[in-house]
Formats: sequence, structure tokens, C-alpha cells
Amino acid sequence: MLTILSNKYVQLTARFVIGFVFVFASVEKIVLPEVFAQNVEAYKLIPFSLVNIFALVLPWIELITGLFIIRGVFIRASALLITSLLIIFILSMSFALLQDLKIDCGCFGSAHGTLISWKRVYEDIFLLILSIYIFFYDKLSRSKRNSDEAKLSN
Amino acid sequence: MKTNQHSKGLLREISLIIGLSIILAFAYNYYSGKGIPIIRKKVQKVVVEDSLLFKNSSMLDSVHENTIQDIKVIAPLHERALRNPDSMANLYSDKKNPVYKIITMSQFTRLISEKKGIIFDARSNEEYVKGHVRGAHNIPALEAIDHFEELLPLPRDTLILIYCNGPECHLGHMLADFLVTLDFKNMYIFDGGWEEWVNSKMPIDTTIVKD
Repeated sequence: MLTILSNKYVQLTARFVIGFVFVFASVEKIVLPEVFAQNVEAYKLIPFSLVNIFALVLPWIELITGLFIIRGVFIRASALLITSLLIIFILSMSFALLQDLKIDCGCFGSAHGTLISWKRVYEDIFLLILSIYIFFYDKLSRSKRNSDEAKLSN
Repeated sequence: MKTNQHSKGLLREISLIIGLSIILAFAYNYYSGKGIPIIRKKVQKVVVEDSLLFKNSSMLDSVHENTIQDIKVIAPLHERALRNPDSMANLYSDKKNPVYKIITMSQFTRLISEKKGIIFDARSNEEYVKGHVRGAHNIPALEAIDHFEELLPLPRDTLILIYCNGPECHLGHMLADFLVTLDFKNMYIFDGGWEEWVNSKMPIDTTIVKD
């Protein structure tokens, strides 16, 4: 199992999947900030006056972490940020669903009325597993590399 | 010791990403033309009194006759838009604390039964096709600019009733903002929207209204 997980192609696929999803998700939010701000507001989880700052900065974090994770820059930092974002998404969507709010998901900045649903939550959980895997795999590969280097130097 | 160094490096990278995001977000927001204020302002809604809507039923009818002569020529706006493709976007964002006039379900149905005004459905076309208020024209707020030519010939004082999904739905406000840029003056938003309409077991129409 560990060998499959430490296979670099498996890791590359995971990185590409998560990277592209995040880049894709960020674009419309960046282009139409007002729509995303209204989506954020509808969740009623952030103080009203802070909604716009959140709605402005969040998609850029998504875009940059997405690009970094595809390109292989700051992989662990990006994976950690993506993990925390996904946890926020999962929690906020679950809260909204439990309150029976019928609101736009805002997941892909869509203003075309993709309502929140448990299906979206499961998708995010899948992405969460991927991002946690990327975070820890990179650590594994690094420690393996380190021990190999140690062996060589001995 | 080593893990400490690792986590320090991780923290530095994370703050770098967040810092970069903040700088890019503010810079883009400043220059994009569709920017939003950093601190959010409340959408202001005013419930319209019955007396204003129905005071003298002839008022709304006569509005057309009186104003047809002084329809404002909006060509300058159009020229401006052509010169600078982003100027329409600027007009969108230039709204200073817009106040939306809200009507209730009973006011909405009464206006419909008295055949007053024209109804705009601000939701997406997909939702409109599934069902809408009888006689409503579909002007999806995000593609409102595509309906520019249909809106152009309407007298600027036409009574326009807008609805979208519900009170939280922003598409109605966006459409109203757009209509303001075209100099329309007489817009009312049915705040309960499609949700309240369906919940009140009102008739759902699926015939598509062509403009």
C-alpha cells in the first residue's frame, strides 16, 4: 500500500486533480467578486463587514495554491492550505445543509444556481483525502530521500 | 530540532502564499473594473406602500403617455460603452448604496392581475425553462447585457417587476442595477421570489415568452 502511495505517478495524478479543481474553481470567483460575495454572505457564517475581504482573497489563495501544487512549488504548504480550505468548505456547507438553507454553493463561483448538497460535501471530502495524502506523501518521500542520502554519505 | 525547522519553513511558505494572495486580490480588485468595496455595505431594501403602487390606477397607465416624449436618448452611454468596453462594468460597480424597492406577494399578484407592468425573471435560463410566472420575460442578470437591444425600445418609465429565487437572491438586485444604468426608473423587486411563488401554490408556467 505504501509503495502505491509513494509512487510518483500516483502523487502526480493527485496533485493534478486537486490543482486543476482549485484553479478552475477560482477563476469565476475572481472575475465576478460580487456574485461570490453574495454567495459567502448567504452562508451567514462570517461577520457582514468582513464578507468582501474574504470573498476577494479566498479565490486568489485557491488559484495560487492550485498553480503551485500543479507546478510542484511549496507542495506541502499548498497542500496544508488546501486542506484547511476544504475543511472550512465542508463544515460551512454541512452547517448550512443542517439548517436547511437553500443557498447557492458558490463552490465554483457559479451564479447559475448550483445549490448546496451532500453530494458536494462528499466531493470535498474526496478532495480532502487527496490533499492530506499529498501533504503526508511529500513528507514521506522527503524523509526517504534524507535517509537515502544519509546511507550514501556513510 | 529538524521538525522545528521544517515547520518554520512551512509556516514561512504559507504566509508567503497568503501574502501574495492578498496583494494580488487587492491589486486586481482595484484595477479590474468589476471590483467591490473592501468593507461590505448592506443592501438597502424599502417595502413599497400599497398607496404608492395603487393610489390612482390611472397614474401608472398615464406614465407612458407622459414620458414617451421625454425618453432619454441613451446613445451617449452606448458610445461610451463602445469606446471603453469596460465602462458598462464600471457603471455596475459605481452604484453608491443602491436602495431596492421591494413588493410583497400580494402586491405582486395584484399588479399582475391588473395587468400592470412587465415581469422580468432574473434567474438563469435553465431555471426559467423549468417554470416561471406567467408572462415573465427571462432576462438572466448575468447575461443582461445580451438583452440590451430588447430593453432599448421600452419607455424608461415602464413599470418593471423583477423576481428571482428569493430574498437572498442577488440576481434581482444585479438586474435592477443594470436597468438603472439604462435609465429605467420604475423597478420593483418581488422579494419572496420564485420560492414564495411556488410555496404559495401559484400557477407555474412553462411557455416561453419571446420578447
